[in-house]
Amino acid sequence: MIPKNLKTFINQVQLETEKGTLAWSQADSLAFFCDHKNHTLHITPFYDDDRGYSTYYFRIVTNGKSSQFSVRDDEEDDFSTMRHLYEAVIISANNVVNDISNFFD
Amino acid sequence: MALFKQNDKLMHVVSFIIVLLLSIVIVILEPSLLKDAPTSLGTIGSFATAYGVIFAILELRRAKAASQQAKDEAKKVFFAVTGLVTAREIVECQATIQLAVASIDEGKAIPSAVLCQVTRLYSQLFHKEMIDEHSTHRKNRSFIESYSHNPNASSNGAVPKNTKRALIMISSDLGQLQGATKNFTEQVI
Repeated sequence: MIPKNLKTFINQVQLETEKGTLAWSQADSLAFFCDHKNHTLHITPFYDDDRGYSTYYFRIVTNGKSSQFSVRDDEEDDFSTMRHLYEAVIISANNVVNDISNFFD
Repeated sequence: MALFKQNDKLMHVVSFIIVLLLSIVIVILEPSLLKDAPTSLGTIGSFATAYGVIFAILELRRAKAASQQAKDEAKKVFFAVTGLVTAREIVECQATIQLAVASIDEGKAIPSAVLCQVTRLYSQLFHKEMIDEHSTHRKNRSFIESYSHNPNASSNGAVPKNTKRALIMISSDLGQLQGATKNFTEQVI
């Protein structure tokens, strides 16, 4: 689950990602990261084949200090928040908004 | 160094001659300065004091220059030693990168210890660049960190292209730094 004191932060990250203030980059195996000031954020979805559940891993690295939390798909509200964030991250990393800006021209 | 000492001696001789000539001129212009024994003693004492002050100023300047020279030499030695330490770290990091790239090429997951070593040494060597959120060095490190935290990295068997590219870029940065360090150390020595 998303730690209580980070819920506002996660919502703010999503908002700033959608606004384009935070720029994300694609790493390997569906992972993305964002370097911002002295912080680096990492988000990774993971599907456990054996147990049949999905998880989002989110990590905040600040000056070498690393903190991670994970959200499983049985935690519906938090999972939905993380899924929305992850989708916003994909859009940001691929610069989709810029790519489709002339779509209807 | 010998030239430096000779110059110093010359400065003292010149300053002594100037004070002496000045004293003679003053005494010629004002003969009353040598009218009796106590006045003469006072006059000579004043000129001696003036020369003493000039002597002290010159010596102070010389000492300052010598201390600056010693400081510069110490700095050179410090940079040479730092250069050697940096060179060792670069070689170590490059060897670790080779291990990481070999693991990727063999289709194996990169061991966490190898990734830790790469990020530690790379961060150490480019600590200034790591502060800048837009630097390629910072991005390269984030690629490596992302791989090390990624639970999919060891399970899906896909080639981690971005991580490999980052490792190669890190290797190139290290090569560049190695060249710069080598040149600098050669110049210092």
